[in-house]
Formats: sequence, C-alpha cells, structure tokens
Amino acid sequence: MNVMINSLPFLWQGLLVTLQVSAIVVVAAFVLGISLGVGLSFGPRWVAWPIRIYSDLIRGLPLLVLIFSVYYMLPLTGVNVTSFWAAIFALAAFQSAHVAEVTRGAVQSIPPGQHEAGKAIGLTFGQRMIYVVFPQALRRFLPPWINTVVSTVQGSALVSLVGIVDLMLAIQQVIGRTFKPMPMYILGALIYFAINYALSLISRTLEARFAYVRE
Amino acid sequence: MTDSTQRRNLFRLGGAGLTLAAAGAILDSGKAAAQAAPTSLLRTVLDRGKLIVGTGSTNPPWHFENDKGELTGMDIAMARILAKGLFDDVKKVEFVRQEANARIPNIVTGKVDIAIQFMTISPARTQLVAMSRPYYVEGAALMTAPKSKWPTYKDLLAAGKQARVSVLQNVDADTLVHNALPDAQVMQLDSQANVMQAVTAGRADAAVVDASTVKWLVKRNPGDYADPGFAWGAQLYGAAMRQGDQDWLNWVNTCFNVAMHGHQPEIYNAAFEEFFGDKPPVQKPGFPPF
Amino acid sequence: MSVSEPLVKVRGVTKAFGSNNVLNGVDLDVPRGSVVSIIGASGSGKTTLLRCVNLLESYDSGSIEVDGVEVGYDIADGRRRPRGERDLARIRADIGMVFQMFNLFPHLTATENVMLGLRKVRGMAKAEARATAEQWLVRVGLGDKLASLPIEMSGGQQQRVGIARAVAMNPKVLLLDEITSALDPELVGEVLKVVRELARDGMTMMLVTHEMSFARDVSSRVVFMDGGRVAVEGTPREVFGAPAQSERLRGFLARIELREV
Repeated sequence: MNVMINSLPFLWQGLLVTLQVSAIVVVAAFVLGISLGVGLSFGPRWVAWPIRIYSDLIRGLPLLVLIFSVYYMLPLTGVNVTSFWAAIFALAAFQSAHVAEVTRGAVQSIPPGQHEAGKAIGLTFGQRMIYVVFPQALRRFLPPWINTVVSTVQGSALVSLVGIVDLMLAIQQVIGRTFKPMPMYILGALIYFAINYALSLISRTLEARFAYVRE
Repeated sequence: MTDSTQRRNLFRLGGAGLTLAAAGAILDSGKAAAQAAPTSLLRTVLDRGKLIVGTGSTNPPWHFENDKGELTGMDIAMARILAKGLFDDVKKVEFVRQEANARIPNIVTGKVDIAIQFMTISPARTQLVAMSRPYYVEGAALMTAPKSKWPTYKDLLAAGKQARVSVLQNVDADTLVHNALPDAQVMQLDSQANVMQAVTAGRADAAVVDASTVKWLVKRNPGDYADPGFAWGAQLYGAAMRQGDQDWLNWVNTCFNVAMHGHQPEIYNAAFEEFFGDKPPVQKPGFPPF
Repeated sequence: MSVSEPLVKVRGVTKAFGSNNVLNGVDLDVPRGSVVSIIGASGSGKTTLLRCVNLLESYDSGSIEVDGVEVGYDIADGRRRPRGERDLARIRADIGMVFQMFNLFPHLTATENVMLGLRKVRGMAKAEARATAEQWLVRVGLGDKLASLPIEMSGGQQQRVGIARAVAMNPKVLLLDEITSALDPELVGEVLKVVRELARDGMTMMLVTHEMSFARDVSSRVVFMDGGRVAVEGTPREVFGAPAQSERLRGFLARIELREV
C-alpha cells in the first residue's frame, strides 16, 4: 500500500533511534548487571544486601514509572541531561537488575566443587570467575539474557512518551498525518517482530555453540 | 584653563556622553528595551536566543508531521508567531515533543518555556499553570463517511437508538455525544485515529471529533470523510506557561493579540486558512474588537 | 627454613560449624618427603582438617604452617587477621589438592585442565604450559586422552587428570581427599598406582582415605582421628598391627575388618 511505502523513510529514522537506544541499554545493562550479579552471588553481606534491595525495588516498578521519575527527578538533583539520556538511564537501571538476576541464576548453578578446584590451583576470585565459572555459566545465562534483550527492545518503545522519535513515535506521527492506523500498526509489528526474531535466532546459534558443556 | 575652555570641554564631555548613550541605545535596542524583571522567562529566552516550545506531533491540524517530516500545524504556527516576535526569525524555536499528559509537568518543571498543544482553557487547569488569551475556539462536530446510511444530521437524529457513534474516551464522552444525538449508542475508543477508523470501517455510523479535525479531513480526503453539518460546544484554546511570571504572560498575550487583531497577521491568517479551510475575520480599523 | 622442620605443622587447631565442634585441638607434623595417611570414622574431622590446610575451610584457633608460613592468618599490628584473597591464592598455588569428586573443569580438555594453573598462576607461556601438561598426562598414563573432555573419560581417567593437574603446579605438599571413594572398584588400582609412584619420587602427601591396605603400604605415618582430635599416631605397623592402642581404634578397624593376625 502507498501509505506503507511512503512512510518507510520516516520509520527508518525511528528504527535507527530504537536500535541505538536498545544497543546502548543492552551494553550498559550487560556490564552493570553481571557485576551486580557476581556481587549478589559471591559478595559479603554488605555488598550483597544493597544489591538485593536495589534489584527487588527496581524490578517492582513499572518501567513507565521509572522513565518518568528519572525524566522529571534527575534535573532536581542538578544533573541536567537530555531526555534521550534520562530515558536510557532509566532503561539501563531497569534491565541491569534483570541481568543481575539472570547472572545470579546462572552462576549459582555451578557446583561448589568447581570453585574449590579453582581455589586449589591458586586462581584468584577474578580468575575463577573468568576461566572456570563464566564459561560454564554461559549456557544457563544466554537464553534468559536474550529475553532481557528482547524486553529492552520492547521497552525502548516507551521512550516515545518522553518525546524521543523512536520507531513507535514515528509510527504515531505517520498515523497522525494519514489517519490510516491499521497498515502502520501492521508494519510496526512486523518490524519489531523481525528484530526480536533475529535475536532469538542468534540466541539459538549461541546456545548450540556452547552446548558441549556437560550438565 | 580658562572658563570658556572648561565649558567647551564639559560640553564635549556631555556630548560624548550623550552620543555614547544614544549609540548604545541604537545598537542594543533589543536588550535596552526589555526591562523585564531579572527572573522572568522573557529575559531568559531573549538571552538564550531561541524559544523552547512543548507540543505534540501526532494530531493534525494542530501539531503533526507533514509529508516531508517537518513539524507543522496551528500550534506550530502560534509558536512561530512568538519566535518572530522575539527574534524576528520564525526558525528560532526548538520543539520538545511531549504526550498530552506531560503538558503541565513539562511547564512546571521548566523543561519548556511554553506549551502550545491544543490546550483547553479551564478554571481547574489555570490553578496550576497560567494560560494565554485564546487563539482558537474549538468545538465538537459530527463526521460520517460518504457512503453513510444517514448522511445528514437530520437523518442521524431521526435514526435515534440505531445510530452508533464513536468518540474519544473521556469522562464526559457520553454527555458530549448525547448533546448532539440524545438517543445514539456511544462507542468510546482510545485514540482519535481509531475513532475515525470505526467510521470508515463501518463499525460506527458517525464519529464525534474536534470541529477542526472534520474541516481538515473533509478538505483533504473527501473520498473517505463527509460532514453531516452539525457542530456544538465551544472550547477556548490557549498556550500554557509557568505561573508567577507576569512579564512573560503579558508579552505572549501581546504577541498573540497583534497577530490576530493587529498589524502582523500574516502568519496567523495563512495558518488559519491552511489548517481550518476558513478565512478569519479581516483585521480592520475602528473600534478595537477586544 | 631448616630441612628438619616439618613441611606442614598443625598445632592446636579448632573449628566449629555452628554448635558442632568438628576439630578440637589437632596437633600434627608432616615431615618433608613423607606420606601421612589420616584415617577415622566419618565425622571424626579428617576431611575438615585436610581442607583447612589449603584454607578451603577456615580454622577458628590454632596454627597451620606450610613451609613456615601460616596459611590462614597474617600478623598486622601484632594482631591475627584472616588472609586476603591475593595472599590465599599465592599460598594455595604451592599446595596441591585432589578431590573425591574429581572436580575437573568440564569445558576444558584434559590438557587444558592441567594447563590452566600453569598459564594463569605460574605465568607460563602457552607452548611451555602445553608441553608440561602433556608430559604429566603421559606420566599418569593418559597420553591418548590429551584432547578429551572430562565427559569422554572414565572415573579413573578423570581422577588421574585431577592428580596431573595438581602435581603439574609443582606443589610443596599434595592433599588427597578420599580420591578413590567415588570410583568403581576396578578403576581404583590405576589411580593408586600413580600415587604410589609420586610417593616413591619423594612428593610430600597428606592422604585421607578408606583404603586401609593402601594406607599401610604407602604411608610413612598413619594418624587415626576421633572426635576432632588425633587419637592414635604412628607407623603403619604400629597403628594397624596388634596390639591396637586404643579402644576406639580397635572398634574402627574391626568395622573395616582389617587386623594383623
């Protein structure tokens, strides 16, 4: 349909923003989440408890509330960021709590004997994580982690509510102009589906690659 | 030094001083003229060099993107009127896109200087924000499809309980519809686009939408939409600003007044015709209209 | 450090898990080059003692010195303070351990299992580490399993990899924690053969075991633990031969049906 074809350049711009926001959040949440997850699983109480509280608090809030809170409250603390970065901050905080939980689940499934063997040959904590625990935890980490990536892409649609022209807002703007919602929603759904389907294909490939690890 | 020399020197000094003052006034007329209170937004905006306006991007004919992806609409035109008044340049305005529920929060938290986003002036609202004089009077209107069973208002009224009417969901939506068609069935839907989609898909016989929307759509898509000829209600649309800033409010009102009734009507008249398909009353000399 | 000082010196070590006093004042010497077997009923504290030597378990009071260095604590401002992660790693690198459940790294081949410590702890270059690892694997009879994953090996083979992994690090003392208890009987022999050879070559070892005949054959000294203490200690002949010195030891050995007649 003509409407769909004419809208493509605008949707493309919106898609780029969606991908940009998602990529930044995924990377930030990955780094922060794994650190928090390791701290949660292996840290002393004064490290693990604050992380536990943070994780439960953040995951209990609807993402929308979080985004609006950061958007309006961050300037009050004197930190003046654009709405783009405020939204990313909120999304990353939310997802890092999820990634921390995924990490915890994955590393806690490693038998204690593995840690002991690592200690016995003189590996430090960091070395045990990198060479013994993470390679084995990877298989249990990947599927739920990909889920957080998918949920990040879906959650990124909420940035449209603070005025960032992502795919969702681009769709709304075209609908506003043309008054033909159905073709646009179908197109939008197809694009979001394509992204997430690609992600699940990547997930399956990654899982197969690491399948040799004995349960 | 003799007396006459002293007088001549004093005269020159005075002359130099006057010249400097005059030169200063001429060169710096913008700044010298705006003796606004130091905490007024008017001062801040002038110093900043551009106006920050909160508006939406999904509702024609008020604020939407045209085929080229440029933000346009009546609200945008009002913003450009302000920019011209401040900087003599319609381009010196930055738009912050916001949802309707962010209109007041973004004003109150200072994220935008002014919100121009089809806001109805109401006593409740103006307890939270200051609003400008009205720049349009919006009404509700019926809209049908060209192949409708009941093409005119009389027909719809006669259809009584059989008429199905779609409307944007709202606390007063049922009342709104029944003010026009007392016996009709009401379908409340979640967005303007879906309200109209219901009519084109035949799931509703008529839609209640903004009067300006009916004008806009029927003008652009006569194949899809028709006007059965009934509008009612009157809502005053104004721009919203922070409370407690009299200088800013006064200046905005002045700018709007001059654009609507005075000697700088070009932007307003052109926008009025483009977006509502009507010509506003001509600005003419004689008794002031307000 | 004079050669006559024991390599491992345990003095008055106590440890409690909650209200359970697992170690109640253990004193023990392990001379350099000797093999000390620790026997006793389950709950006697023998495995806990072994795991204290490389600080897999902490000890509450007392002292454990390996080659003159207190493993669990250092002295700062005249006070005892538990060792930090870096210190522990350094000390543990010189103490080898072989586990009952093997604990091989399942994502690494036999060679890679042995190489990991060599590369990351001893800092060897990849080629040198690989050569050393392969040498040790051949030495324990696994020359044909260099590239195999643990899942592809029998229990006996995995345990031999475990031994190679521990000794390749060139430890001062080797701790063996019931290393044949999880093996099928027909695989026990190949593992004990490797241990015998290590003993013959002069490796200092502390062995917790249920294999009484093996303990008798290979040990320099045998220690019988009971109730968290060393109850009986002596040469294999003294401990296993009649007359048995302690009632408890007699009872224990009788249950295992090993008596010198």
